[in-house]
Amino acid sequence: MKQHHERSRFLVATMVAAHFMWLVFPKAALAEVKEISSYEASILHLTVTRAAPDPESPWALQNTDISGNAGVVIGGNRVLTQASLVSRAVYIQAQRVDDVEKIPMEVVFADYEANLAVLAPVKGHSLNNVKTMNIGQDVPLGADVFLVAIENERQLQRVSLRTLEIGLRESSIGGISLPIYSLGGQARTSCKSDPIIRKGLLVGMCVGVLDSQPQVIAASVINHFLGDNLSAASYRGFPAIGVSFVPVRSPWHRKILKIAQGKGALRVARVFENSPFTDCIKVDDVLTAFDSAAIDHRGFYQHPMWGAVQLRHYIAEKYGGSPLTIHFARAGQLKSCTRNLIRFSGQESLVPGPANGGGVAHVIFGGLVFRELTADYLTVFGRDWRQSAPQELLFFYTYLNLPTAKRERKVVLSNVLGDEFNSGYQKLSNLVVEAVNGQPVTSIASLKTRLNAPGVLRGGIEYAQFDFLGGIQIVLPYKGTSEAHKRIASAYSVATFDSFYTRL
Amino acid sequence: MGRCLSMLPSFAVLVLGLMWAVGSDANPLALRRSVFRIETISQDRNFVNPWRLQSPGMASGTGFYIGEGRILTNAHVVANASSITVRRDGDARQMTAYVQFIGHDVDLAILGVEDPAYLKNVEALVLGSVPRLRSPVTTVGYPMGGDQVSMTDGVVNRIGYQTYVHTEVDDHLLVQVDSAINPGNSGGPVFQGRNVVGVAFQALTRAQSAGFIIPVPVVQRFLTDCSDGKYDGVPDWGVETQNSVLNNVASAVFYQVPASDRRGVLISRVQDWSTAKGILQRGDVLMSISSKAIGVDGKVDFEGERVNFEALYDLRLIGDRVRFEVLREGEIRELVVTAGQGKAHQNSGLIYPNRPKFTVFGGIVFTALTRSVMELWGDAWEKNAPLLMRYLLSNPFDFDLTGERRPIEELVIVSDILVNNANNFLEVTSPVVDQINGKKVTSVKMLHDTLRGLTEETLRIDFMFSHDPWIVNAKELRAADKENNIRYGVSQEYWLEPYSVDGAVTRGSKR
Repeated sequence: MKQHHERSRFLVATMVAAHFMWLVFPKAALAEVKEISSYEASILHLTVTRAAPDPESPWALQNTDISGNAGVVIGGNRVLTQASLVSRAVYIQAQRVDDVEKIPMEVVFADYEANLAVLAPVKGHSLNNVKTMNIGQDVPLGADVFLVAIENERQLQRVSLRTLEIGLRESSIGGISLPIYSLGGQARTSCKSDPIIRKGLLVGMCVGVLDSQPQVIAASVINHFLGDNLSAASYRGFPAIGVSFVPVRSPWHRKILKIAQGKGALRVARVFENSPFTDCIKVDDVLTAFDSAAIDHRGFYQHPMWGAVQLRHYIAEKYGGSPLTIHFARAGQLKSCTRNLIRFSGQESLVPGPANGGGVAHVIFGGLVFRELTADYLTVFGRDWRQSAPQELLFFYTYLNLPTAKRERKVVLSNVLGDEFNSGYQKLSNLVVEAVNGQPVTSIASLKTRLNAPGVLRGGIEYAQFDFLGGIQIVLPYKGTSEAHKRIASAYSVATFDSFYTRL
Repeated sequence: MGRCLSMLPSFAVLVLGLMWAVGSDANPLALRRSVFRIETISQDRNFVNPWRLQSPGMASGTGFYIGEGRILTNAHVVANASSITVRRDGDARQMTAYVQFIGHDVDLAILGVEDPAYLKNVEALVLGSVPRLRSPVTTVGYPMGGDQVSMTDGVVNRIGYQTYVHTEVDDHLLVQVDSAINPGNSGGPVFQGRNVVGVAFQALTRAQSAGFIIPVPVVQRFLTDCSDGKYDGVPDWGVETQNSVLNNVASAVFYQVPASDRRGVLISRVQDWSTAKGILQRGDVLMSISSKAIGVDGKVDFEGERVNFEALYDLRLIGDRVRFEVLREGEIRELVVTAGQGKAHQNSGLIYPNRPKFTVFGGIVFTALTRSVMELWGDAWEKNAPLLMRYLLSNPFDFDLTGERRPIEELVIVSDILVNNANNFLEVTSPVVDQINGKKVTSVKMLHDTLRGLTEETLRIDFMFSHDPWIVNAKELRAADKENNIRYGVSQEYWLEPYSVDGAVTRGSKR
């Protein structure tokens, strides 16, 4: 009897709730909910096990890190997710929230600038029984969308949101500016590849939260990515022009540059040495249009859907290798110049961005640990590394971090693994190497080359001489390094003997 | 007078020894009448709009009589003071005082009083010597919490070479004691028996009972420096050394240091502006200073303790000849360096000027980059201020990473834009000024003169590490000045005096 009462109460509650929803939500909205439900089957929970090199001890891996995030089955036996969440993954499993089967996956291709990755089941496994989701188009401002989040690995949560703003997010890697929607509605604290759905189509992927508002990769970026050749050899990617520009605000400056009143113009501030436009664009040229997209006084152009958008986005809509015509004025003369755009991977920079794969270039000489200065290394200095890292290293990263055609690097003595061999130098750290044996150093490979060259002879002993920015010098004999390396390997658990310098 | 004072230690040591021997009459209580409470009303400088002062604030400290109408205290007690009064222990009268000499780099100042008769019959305290480790000391002063003089006993914990926080950059000898030194104690004498062995001046805020005192050699040097009527300051060394290198036997062989006499530190850099330039050089091994052997740890024997060898250089006067024993290419040489001073920018410490240097042109406020400016970003400015400014201030000697080697007096920044019709489109993307119409900017004065002497119609200002120059009509900017000055209350368009013209009260009236 008691059970019957309880069951009745449950039914009543359900009916009231349904009636309430009918009153509150219009028919269209309920239809949308229903439609969304039908696509839930395309959303997988990904369990990613990652093992990244220890930034402080580059010869070792950090403890493995297991995280969960969403992926969307997009057809072709593939899953779309956020690249940064699968970087350095050693093991990935995909699972439907209503299924117990775990499907081992692997990364087919990832673009860390766009922050998108495509996964596929490892050989012998398939997603054939999982429904696929189609990709939609960009949504206008004010459009209602749904975010689908996976709660506790087992439950899908639908959140109704609205596009509030379209902004450009500059990739930390190649300086590419890609459109991001900012969604308003129910506040979120985090999101990990949560799909954004509208009218049954995937129209975005949430990659983070800013001021409680989800930040979402636009559908156009997803389509651009998936429409590319997803292989390292033939991927064209999101290009850049290798030219930085600033709006001309001063009326007097505009007059000197002969920019007509009311006309938009951008002054060329820098042309990077690997830009395709190095031979035709110069500093102080005034850009007036890209192809047929005219520039307004702020440096914006009219996007067909979003209205005024920063001109950099115009370039990001193209593929690497595509032609771009820049119209510009030089000393009042109108000119134009067409070149094929190139993709910047971020590895051209003096201080490259996150590596997302591979080992950390380093070498140990007598306990002196040398490594290339990278954005990954700077994270050693904690979450606030932009404030707390050594100023010289930050200075290279912030002000001197230009793309170089030769892919040069700065090499840093990160620390010294103390041993009797290197006594007197054990407190040194984070020094920028200028020369080894009197020759300049531009990478770990070149440091090894310099060490292989004859050292400095003094009293019949051959020394390796290291000179650092600021005048610090280290001299240590070659003789005795092998024994020191054995002691250091044992004392500091340097398992890979490749880390140590061996003279050729 | 200072020269006379420098003769005191031997006498003081004798007296001290006698006092310990008899164990009586050593109570500094009898000397409390020579200790003064100092009250100030001070106004800090405004480094954004330098023609303005910040709101006045009251503070107090301690000072003590050292004879000849002089009261010794800390520089930080009277820095930026608009009004100074002193009151002797046991005396109800207050007396107006003024700064005779101030040494911000050593945090010491000498005060005089308006009516010299006020100091009649006041016993001059006698300076002793550097106290021994674990020896007892008594700190006397007016710490917060009451109007009466306070006396605290403690012992000497450490004798070292550390930063004086008043400028935040100057390292000198100091003595750590375990008696509490609280706000208000600053400038007070620290006694051992009847002798003053130091001046209380700073404390560790995160440690209980960890106070620091300025030891007598630093005080004596200050007094001697002032004895010619002008304070020149502690010499700037401009030489960087690598300590501990010769701990490494193989490295010692490389630098040809005799195995039987392994000592010294390696010179890693000699700044272009240093008076040692051309005498000492990178790769030299400094073996001794003023005949005192420098250990491989960079320390020398001093008053029975081991302290950084640079402490000895600091104790010399500008123009003194300092003798070094240097090992170069296996040969020991005796070289002499004349102690000298660096330029304004090379002193990257906090400054306490009458006014910061500045010039206003067309509503653009230019001032010098100093540590005091950086404090606009709060106590954590070393993290929060723009990286370029942090870097330039921390590397004042040359700008290795910027590729700059220009002889520079000081770096100039835009501290503010007073918006008007002629400048309302300007944005500060990088505040450090690099060039004016193609000329490298080397000081506020140079920039001021260039702006005032402009004949070109166009003014172009380039900023360091910015590719967004300001290109404006110079005539329109200049024309805006008059109205701008009224609108923003700019009472003074420029101030170019050197920082040595201090802002503290002199003869009872502010300069």
